[in-house]
Amino acid sequence: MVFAKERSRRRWVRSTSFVGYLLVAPAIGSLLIIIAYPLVLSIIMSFSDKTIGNPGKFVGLGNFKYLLQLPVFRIALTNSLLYTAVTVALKLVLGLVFALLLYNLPKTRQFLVALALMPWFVPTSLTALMWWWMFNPLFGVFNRLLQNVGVAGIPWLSQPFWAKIAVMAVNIWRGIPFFATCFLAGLLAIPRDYYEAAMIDGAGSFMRFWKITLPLLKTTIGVVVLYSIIMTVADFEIVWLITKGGPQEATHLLGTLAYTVGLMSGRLGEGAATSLFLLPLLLLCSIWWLRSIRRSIRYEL
Amino acid sequence: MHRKLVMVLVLLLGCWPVFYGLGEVPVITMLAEDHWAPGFNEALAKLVSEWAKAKGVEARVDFIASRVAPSVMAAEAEARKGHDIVYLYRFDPALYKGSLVPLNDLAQQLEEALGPWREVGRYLCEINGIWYGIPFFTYTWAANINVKHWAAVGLSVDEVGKLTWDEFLSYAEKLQSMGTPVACAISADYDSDAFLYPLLWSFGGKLVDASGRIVADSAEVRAAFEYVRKLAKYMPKEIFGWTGSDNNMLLLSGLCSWTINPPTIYASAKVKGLPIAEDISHVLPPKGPAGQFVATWDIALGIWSFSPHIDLAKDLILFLMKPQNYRILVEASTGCNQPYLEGLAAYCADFWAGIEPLRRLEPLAPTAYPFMWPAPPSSATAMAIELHLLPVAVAKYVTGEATLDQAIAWLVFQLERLGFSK
Repeated sequence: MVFAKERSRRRWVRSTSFVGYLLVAPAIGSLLIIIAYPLVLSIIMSFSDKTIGNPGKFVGLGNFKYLLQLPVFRIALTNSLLYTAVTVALKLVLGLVFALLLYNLPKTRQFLVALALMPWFVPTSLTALMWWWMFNPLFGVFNRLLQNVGVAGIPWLSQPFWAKIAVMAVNIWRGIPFFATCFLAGLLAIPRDYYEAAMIDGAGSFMRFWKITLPLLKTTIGVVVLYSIIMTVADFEIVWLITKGGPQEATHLLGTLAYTVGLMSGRLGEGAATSLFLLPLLLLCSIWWLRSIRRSIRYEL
Repeated sequence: MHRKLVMVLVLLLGCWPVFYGLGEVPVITMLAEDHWAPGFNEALAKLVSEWAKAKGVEARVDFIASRVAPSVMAAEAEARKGHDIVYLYRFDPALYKGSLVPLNDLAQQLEEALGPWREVGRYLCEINGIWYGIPFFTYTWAANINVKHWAAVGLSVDEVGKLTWDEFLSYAEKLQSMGTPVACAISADYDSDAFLYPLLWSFGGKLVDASGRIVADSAEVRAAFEYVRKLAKYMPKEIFGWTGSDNNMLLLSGLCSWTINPPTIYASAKVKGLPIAEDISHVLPPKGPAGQFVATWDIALGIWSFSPHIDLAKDLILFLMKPQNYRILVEASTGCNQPYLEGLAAYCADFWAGIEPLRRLEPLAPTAYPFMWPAPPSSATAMAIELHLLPVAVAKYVTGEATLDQAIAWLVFQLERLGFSK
């Protein structure tokens, strides 16, 4: 009996699955330390009344209930959803347009891709400051241009509506290169034979895009959009550096509010709850989204 | 032979934890704000090295930008690891009291030698009779004025400093018509708080009293809101979206006649050799029915309770607070750093007296307070500042987004949500 157990153990140790687990162990270990540990810690913190330097006690859903009663939180929540929906939608459309343009310019493509990636390379803090300067109502380049053509300057950062437009514009500007390069990679992977066959059948450019390009890009689009939603919901730097959540709290996102509540005011529990408020929704959406993508791949096959 | 060598090595390795650290020189570390004045960091680091040399230890100052300080501080307090001495901003002594060493002995020693402490330092650092920080220096959030523009409307610097808010309003109108308006932020920025809190206090208004009770719905607060609405007509409409540097740029461009800021605009213009420096001076904000008030930007020194070198850290703080050393720091800050101890102020008085644009800021006004004063230092008080509740409420009323009643009701509701009692 003992001998059989030992033989089975040795067989498992020699098996490929064991070697596989052994090889991925460092990666899984790093992920657990770098991603899972802070996440679990934040979740635990969000259910406590922890302040800096004090352990706090379990308060259940108390922080979440409290936040829902806080007007600035409701503004930040609405803003985060609006900011994400608008910017991801526009990045998707503009990124696709840009990718199609690059695809159709094979000679200058490499140069243009390198150029287009610039906003992606430059640190966000630097680009945010650059845009802040351009939006500056008194000395900024936008209002100076408008004034030169006889149009009154726009209160970019002093009116809630324009301030929202301004921060969204910066996010879109920064995100387009990522969308475009991913879509370009997807476009280049589509065999040209499909297009040639469609052209022989008399399909116009719109039909080719609708019937060939879009369906075959679906997976790329799905992954890129999912990634972008997650990154945009967690956005912080752009808003913090350009408007700091103002004017009149109009541009606060969950990220900026979490920083204000958690780190600047010392209420770590409430801060963690602010930043994790959308976690269940995002998690469900991600699972549904990834399943949809997987189903579409199976369908294509 | 080999076996013996291996045994010796194993023995040495086994004993390593016993001998580890033995004979090592202690390293005292300090987390400080990266000062905008070019010579300050160097002066502070030099003083710290001098102290270390005299004590036979090693010491280091790490300078960081003030905007990243909250994350670094929180990380150190949570990890219970980091520097020995840290800069504490505004209400940090109250926020971090669980992780700070009580410093009553130092506070008392310094007060006996150089006291008394100025009220603002005591208010921020002494929490329920325990000092969690040693007030280090403050900036006065003064009225930065363009002397030439005020001369054009017939007022000298001293006369500008004696204006009442009502008189100020008529000059604001004149200055706006000249194309050189008075301009202060009413936005999500500390400059807005620095403009609005002293104005509110000078009208006799407060948001929260010393017991933590909300007193924002008062005739005095309403009068202050009404006043700002009148004044805002003569200020650029962009003030509602201003960040901390917009008023600096406007004053430096020569297009602004009056703004609220620490004296850093003048000092940076001076350091960069800009001609506008000669036109800038500083006075206190105008007087109101309840007096003349000014806001402060405060920094204290604290020692983490998990520091392994508490006694050495205390000694370093005492060294930095020695009059001759403190004066070096004041001079390196080009006079913008002001002390909390009357003895230090007296020791450095001749330095300020020799700088015309700064001489009216020292001695520090007895009515100089941090934002939200006299609310008890707490996380709720800090959060009311970080959310810029007063500027937001004022902006709502001034821009017409809310009536006065609605703006005040919004403010009271927000304060209540933060935990203040009604």
